[in-house]
Amino acid sequence: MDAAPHQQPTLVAGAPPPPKLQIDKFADGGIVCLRLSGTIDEAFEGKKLAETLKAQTLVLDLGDIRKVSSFGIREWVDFINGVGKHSERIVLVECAPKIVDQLNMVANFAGTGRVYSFYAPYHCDYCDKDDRVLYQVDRDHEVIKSMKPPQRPCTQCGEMQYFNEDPITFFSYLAGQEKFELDPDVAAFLAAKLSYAVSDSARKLRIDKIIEGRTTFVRLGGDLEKSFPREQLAEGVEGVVVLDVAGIGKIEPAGAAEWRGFLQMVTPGAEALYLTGVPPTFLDKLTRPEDLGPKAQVLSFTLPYTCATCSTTAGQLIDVDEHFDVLKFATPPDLKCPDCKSALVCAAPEGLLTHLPSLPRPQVTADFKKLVADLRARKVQVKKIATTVAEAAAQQKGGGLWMAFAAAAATVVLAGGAFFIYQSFLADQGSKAPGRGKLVGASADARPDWIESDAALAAYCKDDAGGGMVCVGVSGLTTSSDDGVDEASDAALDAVASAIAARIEDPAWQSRVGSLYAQARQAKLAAADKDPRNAGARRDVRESRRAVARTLRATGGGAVPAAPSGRYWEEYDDGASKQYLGFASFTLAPAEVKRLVDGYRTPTDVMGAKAMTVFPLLAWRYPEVSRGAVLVAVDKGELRDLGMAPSYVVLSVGGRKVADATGFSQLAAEEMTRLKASGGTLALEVQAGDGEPKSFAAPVKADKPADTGSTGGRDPGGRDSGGRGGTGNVNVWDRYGGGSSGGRDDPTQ
Amino acid sequence: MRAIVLERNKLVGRRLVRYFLSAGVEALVVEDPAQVPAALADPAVGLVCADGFDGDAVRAACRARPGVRGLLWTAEPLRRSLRHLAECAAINHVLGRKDFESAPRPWELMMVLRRALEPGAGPPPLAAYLDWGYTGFEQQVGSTAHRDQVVQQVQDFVLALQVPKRLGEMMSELAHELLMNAMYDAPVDASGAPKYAIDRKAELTLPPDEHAMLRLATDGTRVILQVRDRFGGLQRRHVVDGLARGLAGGEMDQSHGGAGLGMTVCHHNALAMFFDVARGRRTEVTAMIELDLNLREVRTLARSLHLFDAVAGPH
Repeated sequence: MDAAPHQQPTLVAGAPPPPKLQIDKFADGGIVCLRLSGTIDEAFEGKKLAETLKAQTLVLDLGDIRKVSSFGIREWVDFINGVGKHSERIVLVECAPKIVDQLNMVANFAGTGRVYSFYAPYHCDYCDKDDRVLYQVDRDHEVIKSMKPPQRPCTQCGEMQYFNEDPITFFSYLAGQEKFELDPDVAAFLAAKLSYAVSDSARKLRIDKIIEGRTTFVRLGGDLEKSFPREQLAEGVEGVVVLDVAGIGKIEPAGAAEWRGFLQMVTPGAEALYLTGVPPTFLDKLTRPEDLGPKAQVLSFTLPYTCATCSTTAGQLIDVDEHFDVLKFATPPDLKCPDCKSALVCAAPEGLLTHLPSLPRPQVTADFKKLVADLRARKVQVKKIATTVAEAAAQQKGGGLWMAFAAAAATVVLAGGAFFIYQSFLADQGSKAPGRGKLVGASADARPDWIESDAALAAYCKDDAGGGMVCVGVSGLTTSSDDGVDEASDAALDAVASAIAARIEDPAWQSRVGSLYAQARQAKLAAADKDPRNAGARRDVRESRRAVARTLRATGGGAVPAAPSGRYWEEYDDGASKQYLGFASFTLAPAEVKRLVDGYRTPTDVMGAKAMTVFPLLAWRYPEVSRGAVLVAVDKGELRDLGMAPSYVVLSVGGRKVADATGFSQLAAEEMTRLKASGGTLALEVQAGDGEPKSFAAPVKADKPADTGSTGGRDPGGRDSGGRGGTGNVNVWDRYGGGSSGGRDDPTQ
Repeated sequence: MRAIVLERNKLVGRRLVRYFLSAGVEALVVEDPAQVPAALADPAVGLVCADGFDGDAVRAACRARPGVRGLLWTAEPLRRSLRHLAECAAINHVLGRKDFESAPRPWELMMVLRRALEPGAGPPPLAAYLDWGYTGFEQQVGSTAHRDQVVQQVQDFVLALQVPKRLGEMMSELAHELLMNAMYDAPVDASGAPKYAIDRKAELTLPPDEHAMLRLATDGTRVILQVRDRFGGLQRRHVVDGLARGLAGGEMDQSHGGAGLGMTVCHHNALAMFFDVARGRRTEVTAMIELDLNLREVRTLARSLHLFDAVAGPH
């Protein structure tokens, strides 16, 4: 080589090279997770691997992929297309930056799959550390859409580290992907069994209950925490009780204590108590004799087994009765791989195996085992989340607060759905509302016909044939009849806003405006529904609805009736005090409905962007925002230069409040005219994400420099001094100091 | 030789004239495409240069005066300039530049101009890509296992330069890609038929005269990776059409003998690519990356592409 010091390669003889791509497989029922680490190149047998995989949900962990060759891309595309034929859903998690590059480069790299989480590269200049930050499409949707990853403290030195990629390139694929949440069962599997990061809501406890003759079957999923609702769950649990705990993930000490308390509460009233599908952690922590008490028995549990042939580690269900003679010697039973029939090797820790002999032999019949297997396989009918007001109305027949949530949370699956079922079960038993007391008075002799549900906090609409609608709200229990009716009015107007939202079918509106409030609304309503006695949760709902009503009246352009068309209240006495339940209805004519829908869905062009009038339901997230304009698209222009992004809510321009989209357009035009005449700063107050509104400002040069009568006016670099008066060729930088205000280059940036 | 330089930025234009003069080329700077036809009347003009934005004017000049060659520079993604290379065989160079107020890298421009003045001189020595001596290594690669070891060696060498880990991975990815082409795609039999391209998954041990050669060198400011085979089969369309397909970002379409993924992977991992082909004798691909940039800058900097000798086409 030309004049270069020559280095001979160091060849390692004898030792076989490590595999370039390591693939680990974990399975649990219909969920299969593949973890790939290393290099995807020509050695990756994509087609062959795809043929061996069948799953309802295939999770691909790509966090440790370091390199991908061009032939590896071809193999990968074969793989992803192949598994797409055998899997209902494919979810890509913890994608390494290298994978994000491929997603941006190769159009069909993800096949039918969707990216749930990915790593973004960060760098700290202070300690020269490269870092990776996990982004989730549900939690970080707005950052991804805006393509503006924020700086964050370095995990090593605490100084700010920055996103070390070109954001426009890096987020180009991900920003185009719709927001979604993991199915609860997938989230629970990932969080509990493989310790993946998933959203908190996905890990919350879910409870399903099925009553079959004298058998009460309760299925639990999620983390066992202090908030475990033992009293609520224990209520009405009797007969033969089967607790399916297969979905239990992490167990906190306080959660374990709650569980033990729950078993103690249930034991006296239960004929027999069985635990089934017990996962290893639960088996270890909560199935000692003192935990089980006198009646509880473990019917079945799972232990991890590895198949060397399939390179798969999966939880295998072990029937205690069937394998009792082996288990009593602290030995795991011999099992065969259900796929390849090879012998499996138990991967459970020794400590767990030593606990097996203490499990009592369950005394159950074959028929009962079959019943339990059937119940485990049976899926509780999850309430469909209404996507239209008509659907919501159709669901109202059953009564209950969950119906009111439905119209609002069109795209959000409600965690804790089982509680809604539980609540309606109580209602069916005749208790209209726990703690309400005896009905002792009302504002009319009979309850008006327009009331179809008296569930506290309910809100619903009914379409009429001509396109109009009647929306009804119900208050919580209040101390005065006036408070009750006022609260019900706000609830009814919240239902009006929901109904309007359901009629705006514009995808841009749904993604830019609808997505802004859906999660906040769902969370507040779910919190109130989960614990109706929680005063804080009720207050959140009440205040949010008040803000929604205020915004609807402010932005509805007179289409919202000034007063309810129907008002009614009922007085209850629980022996200690009197409480009131208020009802209110609003009737909207077809023309009023149309006017509202048109008013909120019509975009207005503003300086290269499109804006829509702030929607009332945004108040669930931004209670202080009652007027303004939401940006739904930001193309080239002054607003984009200013740093505006879709979903930002513009509150004021140059200190003047923005009323709606049209007002924003007018104010912006006036402000620009003024600035172009005399120069100055274009300043916007914007609600960009949670927290306080932010200020955005940028200098605007006058078309013709203002004649100040002074000399100069341009700094040595040729920049205009922006109407501040002549600087007389002095160094503008020195003169105005080192702040970061706009108007000149900042050498520190 | 004289060159017409169409450059709207006066400062950049003056700097370019200086570079051209240094290389021995007299440059006439014009600021308006409308001035090009008149300037082209000078019979000594052999080169028309402009930003990719004015690529149409360069193409028109090449059409109007056969024998004139085109040269583009750009601050934008290469994809936008590729159109001109695909549609005009007289344009063989795109020089990336930082922004519209910067000139292309002087050494890179000088190399292109000097080679234009001496078309038969063949590829320059590796030292020409680097400043004042360098450190590196050279490997003859003849088997799949050795390929993997060399690729790892490339990564280790780059990481030893105290650069971000991803830069090391990028260079090793590039080495892997270039070696795969040199080992599996390049070798042909006496009739010109590919010998090993049919199965890129197969373990391969090449006879000594088919070994690929890899060189890696650095002068501390940039790293040069060069892979050479002795077959010289690379065609202009492999590079230009492959890149055009790959950078289009569409579905994988292999109906034209490849999706351009290999070229695209190389493009993403290098700031400049130089293709030198002596038909039937040698294909030499050289890639350059600068070390004093952070990853974001590496990602966003405009790429350079150079086609020399046989791969450049009829000229």
